[in-house]
Amino acid sequence: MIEWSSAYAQLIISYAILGGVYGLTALGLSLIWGVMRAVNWAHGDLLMLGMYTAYWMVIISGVDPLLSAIVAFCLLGGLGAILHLIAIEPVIEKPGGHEATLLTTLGISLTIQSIALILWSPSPRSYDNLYKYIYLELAGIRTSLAEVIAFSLSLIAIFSVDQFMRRSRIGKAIRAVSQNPVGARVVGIDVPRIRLLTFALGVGLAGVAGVLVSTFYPNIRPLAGYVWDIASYVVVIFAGLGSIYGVIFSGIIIGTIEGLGTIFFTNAFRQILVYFVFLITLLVRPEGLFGRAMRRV
Amino acid sequence: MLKNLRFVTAFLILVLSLILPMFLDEFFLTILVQMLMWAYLAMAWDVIGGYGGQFSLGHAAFLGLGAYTSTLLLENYGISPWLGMFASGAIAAIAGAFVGFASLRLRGPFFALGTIAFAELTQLLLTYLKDVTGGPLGIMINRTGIEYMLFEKQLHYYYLILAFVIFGTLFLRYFENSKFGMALMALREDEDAAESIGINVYRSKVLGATISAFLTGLGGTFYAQWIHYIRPDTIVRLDFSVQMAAIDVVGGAGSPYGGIIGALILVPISLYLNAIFGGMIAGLSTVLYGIILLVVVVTMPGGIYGIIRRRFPAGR
Repeated sequence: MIEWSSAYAQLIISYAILGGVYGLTALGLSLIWGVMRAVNWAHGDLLMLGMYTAYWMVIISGVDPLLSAIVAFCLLGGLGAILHLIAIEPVIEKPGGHEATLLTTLGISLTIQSIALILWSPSPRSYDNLYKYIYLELAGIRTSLAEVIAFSLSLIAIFSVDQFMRRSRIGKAIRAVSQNPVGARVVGIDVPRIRLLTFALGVGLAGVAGVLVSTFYPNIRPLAGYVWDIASYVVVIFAGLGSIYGVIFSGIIIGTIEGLGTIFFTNAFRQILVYFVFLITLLVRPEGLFGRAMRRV
Repeated sequence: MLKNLRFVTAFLILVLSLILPMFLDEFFLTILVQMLMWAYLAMAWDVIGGYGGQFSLGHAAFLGLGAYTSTLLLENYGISPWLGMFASGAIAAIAGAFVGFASLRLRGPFFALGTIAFAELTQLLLTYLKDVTGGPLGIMINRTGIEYMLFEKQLHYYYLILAFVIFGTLFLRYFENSKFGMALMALREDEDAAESIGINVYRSKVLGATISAFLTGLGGTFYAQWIHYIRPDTIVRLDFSVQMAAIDVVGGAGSPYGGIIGALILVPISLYLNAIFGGMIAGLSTVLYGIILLVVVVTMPGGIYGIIRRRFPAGR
């Protein structure tokens, strides 16, 4: 009996930790959505590119995978800027532009997936790192160091983004654009430039999330993005727009729900439960748990 | 004069589409059937997506529900799909009403995301409910016979789907001039203004989504009978939902001919790219398809029909 309950506790804690990482995967998405109401459907694929960045850095140069987070942030931030100019900026201000971003980023998502398939083949890879094999144990609950690091760095990243938004000039401008694009333009903020920066930042964060995920996720493959896409969207909807700390809480909640789902139902039912929560949240509280009311888009 | 000209053109197209296929081989007919099927599905999508402006990316759910309903009726109770397809339509319509109801609360990208999630949930449930649906293995249809809507030759499927497309076009032409169709277009342009002139936004959205889902459900029956094999993950998939939307958007959303124009252009391109690159380099065709989609969405907001309409203003 005791063994069973501790196994459950173990499962729930593992999923809660995973949920914290969901929070980070959702952060970039939440920023992009919150500032320009753009749906970045390629988010998961960009995250996948982050995983590969870590993989290749380790394979080629043997550096610590966590260092490649910086490289992934810069690389993907640059890529994000290019993608923004191709897919978001041309449509965002047109009527129906918010839906159009879904389609254009879907095109980009397909493109990234296919190029990755061509370059790296569909077979999954993983790389060895120290963190994966060191286990921490507290009150009978074991987690790998990799997951703990990913979880803690997720918290740190979310905290830094929040501070950046509050304190820096650019951060303040981003918040201004997210609250009132027209007003921001009136007071002299270069709105297209802020959008570009936000998108680059959001994609860069996806890259960091990818690197962190890759330290414990054994399935680095070109189509890995989809899993994380869904998780990220559920988290963003659950958290609500414009809520930076909300993503970490809702990430943990979603992770815990998944954990409970595996306990009470089957593993296959887990995803059904997540979608169900997703749809119910959308219908009952479209502004999210932590978001401000923002029905009109 | 112009009206006569258009009538003659339409008549010629109809006669050609009836006679020409008799001289084509099975291979070309398969392509034609696919084109027409996607044209029909894009038209069904158009009812709520184009005219209603509710950008659904979950229509594959209705397609799947339709395919499963008539197939289960056929395999378990021997009910012919000629009847079963109306049950398919009805089941899809119920799901459509639910999505329409959701669209009352969700606007713009929220709605699109909600419909994606709805389709994913449908796929997972179809996979999960193994006892009823056969789970991930799917259902094979092994019968033949015209009474089961199962033909030996592609030509017969061609005529069947042609009938679907003609019905779809006539329906959309009627629909866009009907009071209800106009109400839907009005709320697409401005929901609050539509409400203020007495349009029942609630009823219009739910009914629009119901009709759209019903038509897609009928398409699902055709798809199942044509493919002979259905599986949750090969039918309820995001790229099918996207393809319906993309074909309609590329052809020209909110018009009776957008679906046909889009399907005539996009389906052959995607088939051709798959045939050339599919075997050699997996995924390259998808890249090009994605790029085409992107370029059209960015550069041609009204779709191809929108361009034709601008070029020839008298064209309607």
